[in-house]
Amino acid sequence: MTSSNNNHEDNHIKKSYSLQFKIMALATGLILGQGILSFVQEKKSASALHAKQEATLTSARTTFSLILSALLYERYGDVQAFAVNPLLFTRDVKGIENAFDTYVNLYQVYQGIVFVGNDGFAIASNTKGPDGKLLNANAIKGKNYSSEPWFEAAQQEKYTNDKEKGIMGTYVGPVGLDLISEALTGNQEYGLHFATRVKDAQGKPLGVLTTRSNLAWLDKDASKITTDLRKLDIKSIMLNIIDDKGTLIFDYDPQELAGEKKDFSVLGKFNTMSLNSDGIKKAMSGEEGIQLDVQPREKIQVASAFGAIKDPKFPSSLGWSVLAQAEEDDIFSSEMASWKSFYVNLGFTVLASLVLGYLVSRMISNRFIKVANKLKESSEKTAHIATELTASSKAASTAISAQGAAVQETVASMAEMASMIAQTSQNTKASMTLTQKATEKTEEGNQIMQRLVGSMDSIQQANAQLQNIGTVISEIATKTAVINDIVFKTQLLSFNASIEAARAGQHGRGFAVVAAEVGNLAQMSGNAAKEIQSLLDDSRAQVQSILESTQERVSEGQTVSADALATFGEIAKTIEGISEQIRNINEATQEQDIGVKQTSTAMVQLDEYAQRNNIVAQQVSNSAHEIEKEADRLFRIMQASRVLILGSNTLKKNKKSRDLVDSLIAEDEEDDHKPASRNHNDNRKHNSHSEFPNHTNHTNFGNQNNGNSNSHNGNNQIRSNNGSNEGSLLDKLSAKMKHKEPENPNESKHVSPPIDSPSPAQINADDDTFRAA
Amino acid sequence: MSDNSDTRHDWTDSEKDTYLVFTLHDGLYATPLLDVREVVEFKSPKALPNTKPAFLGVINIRGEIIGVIDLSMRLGGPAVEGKRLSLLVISSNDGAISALVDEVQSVVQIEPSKIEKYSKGQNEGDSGYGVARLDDRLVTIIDLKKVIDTSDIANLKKLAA
Repeated sequence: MTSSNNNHEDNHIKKSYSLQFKIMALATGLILGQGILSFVQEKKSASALHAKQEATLTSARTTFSLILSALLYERYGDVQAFAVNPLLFTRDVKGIENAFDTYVNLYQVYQGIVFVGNDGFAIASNTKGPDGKLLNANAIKGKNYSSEPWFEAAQQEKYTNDKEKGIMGTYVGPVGLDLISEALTGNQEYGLHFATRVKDAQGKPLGVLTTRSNLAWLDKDASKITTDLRKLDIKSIMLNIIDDKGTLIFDYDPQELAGEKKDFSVLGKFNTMSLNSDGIKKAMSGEEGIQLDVQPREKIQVASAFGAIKDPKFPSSLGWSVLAQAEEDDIFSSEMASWKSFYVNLGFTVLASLVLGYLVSRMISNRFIKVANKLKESSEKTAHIATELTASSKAASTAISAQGAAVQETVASMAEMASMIAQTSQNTKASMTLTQKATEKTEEGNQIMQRLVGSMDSIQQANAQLQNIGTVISEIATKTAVINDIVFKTQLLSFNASIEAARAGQHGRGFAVVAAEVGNLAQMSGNAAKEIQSLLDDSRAQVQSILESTQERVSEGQTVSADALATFGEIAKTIEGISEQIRNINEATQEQDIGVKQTSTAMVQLDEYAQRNNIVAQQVSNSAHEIEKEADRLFRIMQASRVLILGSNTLKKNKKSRDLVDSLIAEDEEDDHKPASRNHNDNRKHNSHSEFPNHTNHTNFGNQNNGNSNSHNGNNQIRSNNGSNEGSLLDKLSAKMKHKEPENPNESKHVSPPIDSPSPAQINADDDTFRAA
Repeated sequence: MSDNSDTRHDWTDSEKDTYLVFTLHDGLYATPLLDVREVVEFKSPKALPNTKPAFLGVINIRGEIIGVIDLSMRLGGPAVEGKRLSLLVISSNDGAISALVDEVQSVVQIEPSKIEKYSKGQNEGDSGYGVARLDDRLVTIIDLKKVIDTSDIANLKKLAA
């Protein structure tokens, strides 16, 4: 696309274009080929169309020419036929006029028929027009026409003859304004006239007969022809006749003049020679043909079929020519439309193809660009991973050494642990015995508590009985009240008895004593009852207080003993739990013992594996170097892909970018021959394994043949295992590049060491040109 | 008991020296036994309108309507109260009436010499006419008929009629 910018580049190197450019160029080429092919086809079909239209126009001309000749021949003969009418010999004016009127009426083409005597004076003319209208015949009668060209030509018998065709005996006058017809009709008349000498039977000249005719008889046929052509979609068809001097004498233009209308400002006056028309000149010189020309009346560009009239019935000396014309835009409209649609189609196709091509190519190209970018990322990542892998394998190696030491320490620790476990086991057994005792004591306590609770219940029962005593006391109190009542009433009775006794005086004295005694007894009973009452009250109060206090204590005692019972239960449970735990500990200790023994065995194995791991780590390191190399190759492949996709100008700094691809391919081919020697180097490296520190008892572990390409690398490997050399990778790579130089001197300039060859800035610049592209 | 045994010897001297001893609150009172018609258990009296506060109402004893007078109130003290309330029924010319006392204690013989009549001659119609020493305690001897206003009985009769 911008190929011109790069012309200054080395000519020896083939320039490479971007993928998109190639696809676009291919698409454009295809479209161009297709376009040319279809253009040729279109041209062919258009010219066929053109020829057809021209043929149609030409055939219109010849047809019109033929008809014109035929009709003119009739007019040519008519005058001679009229001239032999015997009435003319009689000089019977009336009769002649009648005959002339009959002719006019019969032929319908003549405006005037005039008989002129030898002296040049008009003898008779028709009195009616073709439409039967009365004419002004008197305007002619007696007029002298001796100096008229037609009269003179007829008298001298200078006819318009064509002896080769056998056409003779009539003078044909030039087409123009006809004064005779004008005199007769009173209107301006345009047309042509014929004249012949009238002779009697003896051959004696009697005068001249002239017929005057406008060209209306041509209109009918012209109309027919043009109508047919208009049906063929040649709307602007027009028919013209020019005479031998080049004057336009007939003009039939249905589009512009609506059929029979005539433009008398032009007809018979306009000389077409002034147009300097090539076609008209050719026609007048007797040729015929078709070409683009100027329309005489409207002076517009037309396609013109021209030709002199050479038909058998036409007197050549007249020298008339017929022009069939049509407007160029009209007659070739279909052809033009065809071209137009062709160009539109072509334009659209080209545009669509280009756009589609651009889009598709861009899409494909973008995909490739993405892939290439991914490839670039991948190669960078791979390089990074390889470096990390090298470092990791070094670290792993160191770690494995440390692991070995750690394993031995662990073994020692394990022994200690075993002895400690044994001690634990002893202690556990002692604990178990103690717990057993505690359990027994707890059981005893529990039983005692059970008994206590039982005692409490008994007290509670005794209390209930005590409550019954209270009830008995209450009952006694009720009875005491009854006694009191009785005492009271008895006292009252004793008082009343005393009163009665006193009243009885001397006789009642004995009774008074009894009454007093009864009163005293009652008094005593009352006092005793009072004492009993107070005693009962005391008893009741005491019973109540005893009840209450006992109740309180007992319930308290019950609560406390229940709590104590529960606590004892918990203690028992706890002790059970403790002894369970101790049993578990005992079991665990035994398992631990087994575990420690197994671990010790495993540790020995671990030590062995650590040593193997060290060897594996070295293998990993070798592989990492190999990956690094592959990453470099990957990067170059990516760059080559970029050149293939984007073209050479995208890598401006690396001018011989094309070389990159070639060199890559060359290198690949070279690599295919290498593997044998590489294996040889691996074997040599293999021997150096025995020098590794910390690993004296390792043996070979099968496949160690991957990776290193020479002994150089093997040395680096050892150093990296000691953890002393961080830059071994770079060393190795640069060493490898140096190593390669003599093999491929051409390449060495362009393929820089893999790690620093694509500076990030350059990659970014490449990406930018990418997007710009 | 010893009190009663003491008085027994004097019983035959005179019926007039026989007294009925009763209490009004803490006070010990005595009235001649022959003034009292009978002693009955207290019954709730039926109150009558327009009577003095000491007149508690009337009761029915064996078909006879008898007025009840609170003796403590009559003597200007608070209303009687006790578990063994008794009514001392008195007969008069106008009819019977009863005096409400706290508790009837006993029947005793008191010699007139042992009674100090400090109010005699001072005021006719005087209610109390002596104080006697009974064992270690002082007994107020009152004349119930005098203490209880006879007009009360008259009023009562009117009411009954």
